[in-house]
Amino acid sequence: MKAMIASDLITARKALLQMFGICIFVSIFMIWGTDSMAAGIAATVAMMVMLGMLNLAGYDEMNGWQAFRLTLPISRSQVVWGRYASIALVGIASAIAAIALGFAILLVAAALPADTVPQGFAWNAENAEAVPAAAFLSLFVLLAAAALSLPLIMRFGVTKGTRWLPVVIVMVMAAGIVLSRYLGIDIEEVLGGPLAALGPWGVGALGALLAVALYVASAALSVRLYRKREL
Amino acid sequence: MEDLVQIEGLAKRYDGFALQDIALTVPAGTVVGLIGSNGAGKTTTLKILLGMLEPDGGTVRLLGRDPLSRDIDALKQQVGVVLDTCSFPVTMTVGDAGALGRVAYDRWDQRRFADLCAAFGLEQRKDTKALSRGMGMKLSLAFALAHHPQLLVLDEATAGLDPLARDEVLDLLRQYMEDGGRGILISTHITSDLEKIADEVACIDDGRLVFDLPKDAICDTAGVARCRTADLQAIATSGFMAPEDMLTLAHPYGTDLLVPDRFAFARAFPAIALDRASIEDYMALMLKGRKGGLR
Repeated sequence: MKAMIASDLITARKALLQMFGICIFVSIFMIWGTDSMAAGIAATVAMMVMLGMLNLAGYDEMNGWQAFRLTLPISRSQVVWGRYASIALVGIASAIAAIALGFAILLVAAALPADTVPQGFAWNAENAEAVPAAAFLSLFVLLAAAALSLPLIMRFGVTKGTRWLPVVIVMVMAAGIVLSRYLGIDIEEVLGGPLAALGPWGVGALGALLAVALYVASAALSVRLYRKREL
Repeated sequence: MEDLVQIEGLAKRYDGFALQDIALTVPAGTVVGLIGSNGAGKTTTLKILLGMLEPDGGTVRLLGRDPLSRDIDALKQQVGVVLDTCSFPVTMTVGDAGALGRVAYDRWDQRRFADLCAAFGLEQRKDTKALSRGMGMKLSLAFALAHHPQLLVLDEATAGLDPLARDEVLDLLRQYMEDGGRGILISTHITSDLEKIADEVACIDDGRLVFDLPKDAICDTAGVARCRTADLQAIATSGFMAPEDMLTLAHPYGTDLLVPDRFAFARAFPAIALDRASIEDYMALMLKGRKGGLR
């Protein structure tokens, strides 16, 4: 698996660095435009994870790289677990980089005259708390999104897989709504109380746990699907 | 001698194409050439051998193991592969390929990789996207050889190389084969390369094995007789060859006849012009030749 992670990181290194450069600008514009530090930081992590995932999947299909990689001492199972690990690593690194970026922006803003700085950039407790919270919340939401996308990409490739993705997402959402109506369950009523009791940090931790569990389950499914793929 | 590759009764079916009953071995110390027209099934055979495709039937053994077994990664430590394009992602540099090899292979020899790159004129900082087809193939070869594999599987590895570079690569392959325990399975359209390095030549056409012979049986023993119609009649009636076994290929200036033993033929028909068969002649007559020379 180490070889697969190395292969992914070597392959995507340049693209990730370029993307992070772009994300810095996008993030600053988002904070400025929405007047919200959290939006800019969350967008940075989201863009890095999604673009990282799609970039890696795109390179797989160029020049027969995916087929050639299977001639290296890397099994199909290692390809899948390695790919999931690479994306998780990109996500964690992006979250850390986004936090550093957020605090750097706050520090620069703090050095400027207060009346020239928009609210989103202002050095205050709310923004200081929003930076790590938004980074990690975005990371776990994106891991959940990757968990839905990756089995399709591993089975059909990025071109066909991303074509099927919206269909699967709509189907999952529709199935959830229909099922809750059919069983007569009011999700807000059922979950509202326990979630309120957990508090925001508890909900965050539970969400993170669920996202990681979904991500691992998705990897196990992708291994089965990728074994059947002819390259 | 131990067989590095053993394929028996291999079958694979797609829409409009079927690979049927392919049998092939690569004994240690042997270079086996795989030839055939485009779409004949050569690459499919190699992909099945390397575990990229699952066969529908038959048995495949790569260094004695099933290439679809789950611990195949350990087996692949001993195999070097060059596919028909330089497959490294366009974002990698030559040096990055070396860095990947170092992580992937237990027996990766960085000095050997650097030496091969230097010999091929590949700069470590050069992006793979900036490499010409020929230079890309050289990088693939350097990568395949740098972990001292026991088996090399080459799919059109010399395509796109100029004649001098091809000779350089063939020298490298000869040098690689100096260790008698190694073997090469090479699929190519450049049959003259096989005349220089192959020990065995197998030909696949339309998914079937047409012949699998020692190279010497083709290039040293077999011949091509340049016949006129009267010559063909004389041969057919002489009893030297059964008329139904005569493989001929007509062209504007006469008819070529494939002769399995050119020395015996020369003794029997000293007046008929006779040349050594090249692998290309042999393949052309086997694939396009008409059986029954006189009909």
